[in-house]
Amino acid sequence: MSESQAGLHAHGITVRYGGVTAVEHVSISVLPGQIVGLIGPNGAGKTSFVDAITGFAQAEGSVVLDGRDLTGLKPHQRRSAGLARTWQAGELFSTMTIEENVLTSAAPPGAATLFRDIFLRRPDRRATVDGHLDVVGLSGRAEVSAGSLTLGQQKLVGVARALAGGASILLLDEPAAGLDSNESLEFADRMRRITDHGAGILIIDHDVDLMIKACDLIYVLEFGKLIFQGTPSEMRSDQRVIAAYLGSPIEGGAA
Amino acid sequence: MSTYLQFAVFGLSLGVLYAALANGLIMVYRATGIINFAMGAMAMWGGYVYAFLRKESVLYLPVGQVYFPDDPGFWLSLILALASSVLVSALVYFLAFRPVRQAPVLAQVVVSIAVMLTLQALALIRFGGDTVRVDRFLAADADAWKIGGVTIEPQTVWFTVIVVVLSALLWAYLRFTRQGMATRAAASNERAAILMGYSPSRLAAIAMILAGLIATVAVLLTAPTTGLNPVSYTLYVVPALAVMLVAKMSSIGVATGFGIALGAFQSILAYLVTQSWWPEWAASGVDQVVPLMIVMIALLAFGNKLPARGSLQTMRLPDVDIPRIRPVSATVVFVVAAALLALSQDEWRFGLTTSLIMTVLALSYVIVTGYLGQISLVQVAFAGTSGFVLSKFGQDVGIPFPIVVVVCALTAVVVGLVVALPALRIRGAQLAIVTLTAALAIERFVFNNYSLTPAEGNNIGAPQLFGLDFGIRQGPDVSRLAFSWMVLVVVAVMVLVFVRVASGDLGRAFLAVRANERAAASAGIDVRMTKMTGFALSAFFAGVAGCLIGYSHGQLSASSFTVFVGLQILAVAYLGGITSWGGAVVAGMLAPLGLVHTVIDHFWTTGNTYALVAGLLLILTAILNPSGIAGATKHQIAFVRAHRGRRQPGAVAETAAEIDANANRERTTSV
Repeated sequence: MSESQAGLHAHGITVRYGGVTAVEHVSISVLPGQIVGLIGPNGAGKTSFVDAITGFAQAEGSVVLDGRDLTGLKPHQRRSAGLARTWQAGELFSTMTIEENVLTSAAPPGAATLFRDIFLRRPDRRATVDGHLDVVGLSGRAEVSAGSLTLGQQKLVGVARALAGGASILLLDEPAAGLDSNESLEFADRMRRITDHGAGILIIDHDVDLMIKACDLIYVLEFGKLIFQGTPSEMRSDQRVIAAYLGSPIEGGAA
Repeated sequence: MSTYLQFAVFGLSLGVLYAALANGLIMVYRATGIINFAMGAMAMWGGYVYAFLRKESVLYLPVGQVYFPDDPGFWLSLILALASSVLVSALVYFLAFRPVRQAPVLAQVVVSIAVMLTLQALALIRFGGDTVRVDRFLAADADAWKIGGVTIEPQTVWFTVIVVVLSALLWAYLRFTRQGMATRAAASNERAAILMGYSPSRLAAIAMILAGLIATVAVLLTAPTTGLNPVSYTLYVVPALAVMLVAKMSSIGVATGFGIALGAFQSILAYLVTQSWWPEWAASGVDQVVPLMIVMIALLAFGNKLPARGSLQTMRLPDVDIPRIRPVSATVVFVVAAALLALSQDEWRFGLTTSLIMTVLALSYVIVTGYLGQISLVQVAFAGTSGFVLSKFGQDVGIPFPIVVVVCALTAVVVGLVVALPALRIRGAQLAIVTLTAALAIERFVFNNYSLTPAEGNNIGAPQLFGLDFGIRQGPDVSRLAFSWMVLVVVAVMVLVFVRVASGDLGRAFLAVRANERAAASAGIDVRMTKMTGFALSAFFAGVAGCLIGYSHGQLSASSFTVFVGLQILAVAYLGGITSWGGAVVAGMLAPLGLVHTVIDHFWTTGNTYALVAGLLLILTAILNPSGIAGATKHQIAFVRAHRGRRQPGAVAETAAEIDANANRERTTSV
């Protein structure tokens, strides 16, 4: 794999729902080790874009991950290839414990699973699970039922679930929406720990402070089109972004 | 050509019944969101009341009866029949459907199936199982018309007109009256309807009653041609369900037209199978294959466009405790069971053995419904398929005993994979419709097919291993211990396999698919493959049970694998607790011909009492306690333990609080 191919390269993504074009010819790259932000007003097509590249929505355009073409693959195949996502609404398996939630993606069933389940000794995956939970700050809570968590915590488990089973690129859909401002700054540090291990992150969030503090690069969507891409400091002074999304010049940023 | 037309005309009488039942189904669905599997059974009640008023001058109520001095005559009988239909509909609504109106789809399906089983059992007890002749509803005084070689009785025309007119009235009620519009609105948004000043319960009750009335009238029109029979009338709901799907669960007009057409088509088909060119092996039950094909085509054509309220809410099912193998207690249970088998004899040993076998069949429901979250009503047909293969080929090919069971169960797996295909597109109540249709088609086309299954049954020889005879009979001993112990070993192995799978990666994937398919896919789980695996595995369990059932009867008889047996097993599996192997054991005890059945039979001697009690208990379970008997007991034990633990200081108090919270959560789920 050549250097230019490493990471996620989505090119010309277009999503149509009936007559409405939710995402129009959007191209985004996320390189290993990078935290890339995707922001935009409500209805700008952020989640549709994530649905498209993870295979949950019909879309035009191509998706390449670490040199491998994922276009046309099913969601679980893209996940196995290393493109993992979380959901805006958490979408945990609420009747399971945190540990079992994380294990679902650590050990998805394959052709030999039935045989293995019946006849072979179970590998002890406790340490792996704890490792992932530690990254999101939930270590020691493996046995807690996922249904009893707050939405913010559920999303953190979602991140751990996405990490488990190996992910080279994580797509986080509003992971910090349920967190207070302290927790969300803490979350920025946690993301940095993840990227330090070589993974790349594409994050959608409304918290501009968080985005400016955490991201290396920011894309801005409006009405399904990319209107900006650049560093956080460039964004703060970009007139189109200010007009479209921020409404007023951003003061202070990540103070 | 005129022959075909003539048969089409003959088919009109069933056609109007399908149309009316389908319209009733649509009415109930639009008013309550529940698919009323009991539609045929409910409609049949009024028909029976009419028939027995005319025949014996007795008015049968659900409980008790009123004697008339002599035949009350046509009009009074008709009015009383319709009045009892109103009574039955209202009872069913307020006692069964209303309590589960906000419940998970599975609970709704189970309740409506429970009502069906209850009414059918009640009809069997009150009116007997023989077909009852019903006098003509409309006097056949006028001469038949002849049009181009086709004879048409005036009454055929009349009752078609009656049903079409009634359907039109139903349509007009929903379409034009404020109340009808509010009924539709209330089904999708109860609160809004309340704010508009309507009582959603009353609207739904009225819809149920109207549905019951049109279906009852159709039964009264059709019964003189077919005779009243509790089994066939209860099952006329299956073709009606197919019609309902074609009408996209909403169009009264399409349902009326298509229902009548289906009746005519089935009649033509009944004529065609008598032709010499029609293969003899495919002559039986073809009319029941037609609804299955219609359902399949309808789902392929607009599977995703069918309104599916159930798919919006995630499939809420009782919580699952991941099972673990505890060698000591497992050994104790095994030894106790072996000892009980040794100590009991004759009917008691047979009952206990049957309970063990039924545990395996119930486990197949635990896998497919409890773990995978798919409502399948076809499991017993998998069992039958496997038993059928055993009786037909297993003997001759000469495969030795334990392996032949595996081979036969694998043929059930093949059938299971085919039936699983629709489950990749649909779920919830619609899957229940498809699987019920498939079960009926397999029963009629294969098990009841005398060219494949002779009336006296296919003999199944005794299983033998290393020269040991594990047959159920030998000389005067009709329930040998060797057979029972063999069954116990097989069942223990199956339970072990279940526990291993349920506690493994595959079991977790099943639960993930059950909880949230989208999230499962995003966790890297191949949802389609997981569903196929689950269906295959459950079919394998059912197949093993089918072989054991075959061995325990010494032959394969279709009556062991009817749709009703299947529904009863689902009933007891749900009663026992659909999410655990303990529940499956309870289900085995409660199952038809099992231990409890033996006890009831021993003291009351009537099998229909059992069916009635099972149906009523099932309604209660689905309403009050969706986690079943085993689940409830487990909770009580945990609760008691936790409260005892409270006296000791500290840590345990938290668990108690947790359990209380769990109990609360479960209660809210069940309401």
